[in-house]
Amino acid sequence: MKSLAHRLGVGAPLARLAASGAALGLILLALAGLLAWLEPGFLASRNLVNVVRAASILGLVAIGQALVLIVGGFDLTVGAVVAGASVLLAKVMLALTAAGHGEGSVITLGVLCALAGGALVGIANGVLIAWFRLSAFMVTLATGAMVSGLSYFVTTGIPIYGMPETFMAWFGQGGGLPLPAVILVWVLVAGGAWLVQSRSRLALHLYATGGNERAAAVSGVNVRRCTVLAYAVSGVLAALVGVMLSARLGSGQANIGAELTLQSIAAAVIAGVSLRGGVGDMRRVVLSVLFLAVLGNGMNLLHIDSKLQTVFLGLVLMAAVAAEELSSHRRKLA
Amino acid sequence: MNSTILKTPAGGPAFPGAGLLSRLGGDLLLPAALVALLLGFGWVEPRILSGDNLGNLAVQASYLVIFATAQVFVLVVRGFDLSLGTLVSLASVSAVMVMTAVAPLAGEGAATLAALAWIGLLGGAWGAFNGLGVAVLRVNPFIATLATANIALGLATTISGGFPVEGVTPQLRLLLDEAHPAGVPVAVLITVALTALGYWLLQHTVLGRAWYLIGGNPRAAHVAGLPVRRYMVLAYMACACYAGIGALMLTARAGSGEPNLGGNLTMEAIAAAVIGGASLRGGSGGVSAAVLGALVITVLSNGMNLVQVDGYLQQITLGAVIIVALFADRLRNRGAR
Repeated sequence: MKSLAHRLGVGAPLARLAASGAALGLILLALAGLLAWLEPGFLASRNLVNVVRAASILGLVAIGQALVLIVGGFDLTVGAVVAGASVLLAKVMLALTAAGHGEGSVITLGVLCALAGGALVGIANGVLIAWFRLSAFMVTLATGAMVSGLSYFVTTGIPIYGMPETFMAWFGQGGGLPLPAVILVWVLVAGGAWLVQSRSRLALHLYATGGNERAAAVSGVNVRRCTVLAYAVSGVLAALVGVMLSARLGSGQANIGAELTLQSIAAAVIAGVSLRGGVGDMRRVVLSVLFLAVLGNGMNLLHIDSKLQTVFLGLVLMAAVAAEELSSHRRKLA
Repeated sequence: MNSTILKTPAGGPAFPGAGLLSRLGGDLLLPAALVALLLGFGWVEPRILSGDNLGNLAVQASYLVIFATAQVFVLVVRGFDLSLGTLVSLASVSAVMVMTAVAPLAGEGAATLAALAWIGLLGGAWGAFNGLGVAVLRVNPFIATLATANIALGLATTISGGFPVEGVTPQLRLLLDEAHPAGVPVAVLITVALTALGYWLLQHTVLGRAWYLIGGNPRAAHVAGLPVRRYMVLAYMACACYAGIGALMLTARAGSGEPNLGGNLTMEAIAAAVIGGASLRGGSGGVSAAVLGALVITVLSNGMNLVQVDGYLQQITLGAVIIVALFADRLRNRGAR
């Protein structure tokens, strides 16, 4: 069953381009160059910081999503976890402040609780999927609906205000640092993910789990633990985004982050992470997230209607995956 | 369930009749749960079992049955349609725009017919578009239909400007919503007809049987010489056409073209099919899954509304029900093996 494009003979050059991670980098540079030429405002430092901040929010979630995809899973809860962590954080902080704790411990405990909540959702997903072998898509769809329902139920849809000022100053603005804190967090997490990917045995186990679960299990990989770990990390990273967004908004909200679920999957897929598991490179995930952020910013700067932007993103996604499919076809034939 | 004839029996049942027993248990579990659910709600709140409310329930469920049946067509071929909800929005908005364009030229009767024709056209084209992405370009169905979902959403909001489009003809309302032939709401009749058609298509046509084989074992289907790609495209077309008809019915009920009519329909339709017993692994499930799943979801939400359960708690309950259904599916498959 050859694909249409392959039969037309346009597969080879396209495929070689898509196969190398450099293609994504080149496209990103070309896009940025084009934007800088069309709209000089793009290069203003304030705009660039905005682009990277948007990228870092999506980027943190996308790293978790890519990890889950690599072990052959799927995480539709991330958006709900972002909101859930935000609500949990605000509730815990308010309760601790009311109990008369100092700012330092309020912030530390609040953030830890939020991250633990994210981890818990991830672990629940992982256990249901790895132990009971339920469909990852349906499980995370269901737990996502439950987490989101719970956050709305707790808040009745109203933002929770009253978090410590210091928290907002540090996590929202970056304190005295020159860049927003979320960007620094993203750089650290992405760097960590790349280190793990390139230097650790754990990475081999994760890729093996997604590539061929049975073979991995037979070779002594603890497949279940790898799967649960991936979902837990995804949950923690989504919760981290919830914390950072709450700090920036100055409140805990149940209606944030919903769009991040599908965006993170799109970003991972554009980066060449396979939905069949076992394939993916964190460096390309970072590039892909930057690409999406620049694209979105560019369309805003060029005053392209936001409704048409969705159409455009759909086409980009389709093209990226078709290119990827061609390249993998090419590799299989070679 | 339906795929059993296509599977090679890996091992005989533990004792004579065991297979039949477990199959019956599996098939009757959901109807029994449905009845228990109705009686349970009725015990707490007798209004739920009133004739009025039961009629209401049937109408409410009928739309979801259609969308879940649409989803079953593609689930059977191991596919997926995430664009169903936004296609419903696009169909709703564009059909009303067709009616407003045709009505001044040729009258409202012709406008109604034009809207019906347009839905067939749009459904066929959209399904072919999805099917081409999945079957010919071989893009993962999740991503392909996620992309087309974005496209449909963008188109629906762009052409309508994000506002409801007025101009549904009285004939369309009568035809798809207000008529009560023999006292039965027309929406229920259409749904019965569409599910019967779906059942016939899936169980009694070569195309339908081929869909099960493609979903159960694509390689075997290919080796057997089936035109796998063409049949898969047809599955997506059937799905989109059903979605389009459902969209037109909802539009007739709402009285205008709504750019956000699709809302949660995609996920609800998938949830209904899965609760009813269709598998995401393809090759199983049928129209009965769509009907039962949609009824369970509708009874749950109707019952909880009348017992005045908070809407957000309802969402949590639905999530829990999906997980229970997944466990039940797992157990049933273990029993069959």
